[in-house]
Amino acid sequence: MATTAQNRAILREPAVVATIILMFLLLGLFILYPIFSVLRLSLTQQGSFSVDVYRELFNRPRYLRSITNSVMLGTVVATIATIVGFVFAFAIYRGGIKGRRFFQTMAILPIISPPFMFALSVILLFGRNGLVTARLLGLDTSGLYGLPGLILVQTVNLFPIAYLTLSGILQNIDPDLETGAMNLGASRFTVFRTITVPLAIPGILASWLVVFVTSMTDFGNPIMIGGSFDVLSVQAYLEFTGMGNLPRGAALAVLLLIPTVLVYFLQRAIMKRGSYATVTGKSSRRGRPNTGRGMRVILMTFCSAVTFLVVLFYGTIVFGSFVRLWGVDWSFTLDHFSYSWDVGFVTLRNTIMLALIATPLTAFMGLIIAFLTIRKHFFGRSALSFLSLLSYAIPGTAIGIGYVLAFNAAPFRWSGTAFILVTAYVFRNVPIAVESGIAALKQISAEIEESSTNLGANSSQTFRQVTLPLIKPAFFAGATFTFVRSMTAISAIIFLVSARWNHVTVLILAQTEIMRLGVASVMSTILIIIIMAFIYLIMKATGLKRDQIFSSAQ
Amino acid sequence: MLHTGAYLEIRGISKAFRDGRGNRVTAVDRLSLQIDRGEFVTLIGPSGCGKTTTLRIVSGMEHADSGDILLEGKSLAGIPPQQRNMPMVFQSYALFPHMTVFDNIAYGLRTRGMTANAIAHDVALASQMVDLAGVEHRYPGELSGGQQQRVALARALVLKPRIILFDEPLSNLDPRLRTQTRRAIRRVQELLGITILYVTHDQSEALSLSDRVVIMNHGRLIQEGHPRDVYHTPVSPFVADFIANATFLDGVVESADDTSADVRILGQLYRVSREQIQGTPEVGQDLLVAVIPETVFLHTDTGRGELTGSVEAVAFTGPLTEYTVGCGDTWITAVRAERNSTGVLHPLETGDPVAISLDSSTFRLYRTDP
Ligand SMILES: Nc1ncnc2c1ncn2[C@@H]1O[C@H](COP(=O)(O)OP(=O)(O)O)[C@@H](O)[C@H]1O
Ligand SMILES: [Mg+2]
Repeated sequence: MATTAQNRAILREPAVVATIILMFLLLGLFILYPIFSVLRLSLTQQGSFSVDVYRELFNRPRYLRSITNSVMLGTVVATIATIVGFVFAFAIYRGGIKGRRFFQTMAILPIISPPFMFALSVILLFGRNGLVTARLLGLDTSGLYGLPGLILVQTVNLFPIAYLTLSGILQNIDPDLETGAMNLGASRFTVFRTITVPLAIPGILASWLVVFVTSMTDFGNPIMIGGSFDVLSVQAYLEFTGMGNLPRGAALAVLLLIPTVLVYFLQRAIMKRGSYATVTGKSSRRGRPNTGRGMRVILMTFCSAVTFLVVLFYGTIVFGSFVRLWGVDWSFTLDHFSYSWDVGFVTLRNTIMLALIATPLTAFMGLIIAFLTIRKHFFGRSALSFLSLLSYAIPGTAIGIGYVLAFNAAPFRWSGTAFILVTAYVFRNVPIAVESGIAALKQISAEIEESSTNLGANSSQTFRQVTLPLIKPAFFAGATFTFVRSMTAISAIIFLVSARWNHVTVLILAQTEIMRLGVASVMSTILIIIIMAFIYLIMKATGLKRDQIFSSAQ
Repeated sequence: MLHTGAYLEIRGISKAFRDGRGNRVTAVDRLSLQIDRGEFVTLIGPSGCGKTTTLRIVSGMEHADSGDILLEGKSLAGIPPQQRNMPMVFQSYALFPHMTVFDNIAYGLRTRGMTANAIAHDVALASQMVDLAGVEHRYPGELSGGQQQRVALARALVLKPRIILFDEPLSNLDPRLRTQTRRAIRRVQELLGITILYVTHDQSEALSLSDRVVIMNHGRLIQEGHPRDVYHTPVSPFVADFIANATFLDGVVESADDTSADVRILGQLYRVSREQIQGTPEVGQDLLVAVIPETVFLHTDTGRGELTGSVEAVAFTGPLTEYTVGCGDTWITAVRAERNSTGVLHPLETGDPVAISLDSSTFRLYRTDP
């Protein structure tokens, strides 16, 4: 709580006060107001309050099923992905397997892919005309659509989230704890069971929850290969955009919103309460692998198998870019490239341009909010940090619908503009920038900043000349992620694109739906290459290491 | 069969690591050491000299590149750390943060499959011994540094081990607590007759605790012996500096016979016995003379000592005051109490002229050529 004296102190810095007010206005307008619009629409009928829409949803098996399907998918994927992520992290940071650096790369690669890219691979490999199903096995199946396919692609897509969280946790466990336990007589397995796992439990739970939410709110994969397996995000989109039943679409989005917000706060509480601060100074020694030879072979095999799947999925897309007609005519062609150029160039250019506009804006806004909430004392400080992190918990579907509803009419008539897309990128990603900014600022002692103030600098000088250089890594990590996520966004964006301002992911989805798989592959490949090139340039230009950038992906 | 040799023997162990750039770093270099049952042996040396690595090799957490560890004459090669029953007390304590004090102490007993009753009994006993009764249900994060340290100790003691390994266990404590805990460790060790291999870089800790100190540098054993012997007869300038904070003066041998030698130091002639000199002195030879601060006597009455100089710096530390005295172009360190049996000594201040007398019987003299 800010005291009265502190509140008064802040008033002597009008620039700070103005910034705080501006941040509240922006977050209120672009996060609270759209969500409020969704809630309002789903709860009114002919101008008065009503829960009829919800009553109807719960009375129709079709919608009930999409609720249970979403929850089931989330549960299964969260469980498998967390296990895979844990095994990966354990193998790399505690298992002493060979090829650590290679596996580290492979474990984070899926993070930078568009969320539906693996679904496209699954269509190519296991679909009706799939390379594996139809050609190698000669099966006449309807393909790996529905739940099994979704579990496969989402697991490969989302295990990196669990991996990143858990590798952070495992690296933070003091190796002396395991050494000490062994010295006291514990076997390797006992050490694993009584020390390693219990200390990783908060991370395991947190990963599970994050993957659960991400799986539930995923739109790209289920719309591509969900088949008859209905999930909430797709149903909300179909009702809202396809059927034009706006209240029902809004209500479905709200049903998606409730669990994600709850889970988000549960996850934060777990990470905060459950993490055991190191009691005293940590040993500087590197952990000795806590595995025997047999275990190492098992871990190595496991990691290799998952890696094989990742590589296979990427390779398939690249391969598919050059095949004339997948499943029918396997001859080499470059036609898909020229076609993609014709139909996609403008969209791709616009997508990159808007992402590049959103990127610095998001990173700056994130830093400013982080700075205000960590370093300044004022009334409403915790409300500001709460608001800025809130959009992380809101499904893209709800944001998309919210923006359509909120910014469709005076005084905010922005639908169909580039502005609305940029705003969506910024406010969808600002929590990441805020989080990494907060983490960085917490490491910079307040004394450093205070000494600058003592030497006569005002708040903004201190921020620019002292704080900013020190949080450069956080800034570029936030920026990189904003760019990646803006380039690969789909769940909110699909509601907001227009003929004038389309997004390349929406285009890829459209190409997939009309079974132009070669073109979809080309566009996905190019998207991946652009993202990788961007990350590479950021790393080159700033001297940051990959881990510094990806640590904020948790 | 009754074993007659050393209880624990470190036989010629060596260990090299690769540093970040892939270069070999020798951490332990052909180290041999014999430890008797119930003995308290301390490894001391500057940071990075291989103390921790030695301890970890003994505990089985690290494998030596060559050499062997023997317990009662039997090699421990191939015996995993779990089965050595040589608990280690870490500098960081390495307390399990997710377990209560009770569960931390009980940890080793549980791995041995003891019954709950027996565990409760032993844990209570161990907690009592280190003065922890009453905090068993707290978590390590809720304890003071001193209490955490004692949990680490109890966790090892409760196993009734034959040997306990300590790796700088007191360096995270404040000085007052350090002295108290030192005494507690020594008391428990004597009470239970445990053999201790202890590591520190703090000379006063090593000297006050140990039956025997082992001085290491660059992975090698430099000197071992009773603390008093090592302090008074350091075998090299390194030991004299590290253990006794000696001042080094240049000396030249003026004459030598079978029992003694005359050495000119700062223009004065001092007679020393042959045992004080490393190697055989030859006339005209240069020597490095180690002078221990408490054998340097300062007089305000400038007529009394054989050397004169002036006070360059004064550091009052409480019981003793340390003076840096300029004498010609060298500095000599002296310490003395501010009072003695005759009353308060005249305090010296920076710039004061002083006379200095040295006690030549405490000199150690080393050849300057290697
Ligand atoms: N796991 C390791 N990897 C690489 N070098 C190491 C490792 N452990 C110790 N060393 C090196 O070996 C030397 C001795 O280290 P250590 O035994 O910890 O010294 P001390 O405990 O005396 O300070 C140091 O140079 C240290 O950097
Ligand atoms: Mg050490």
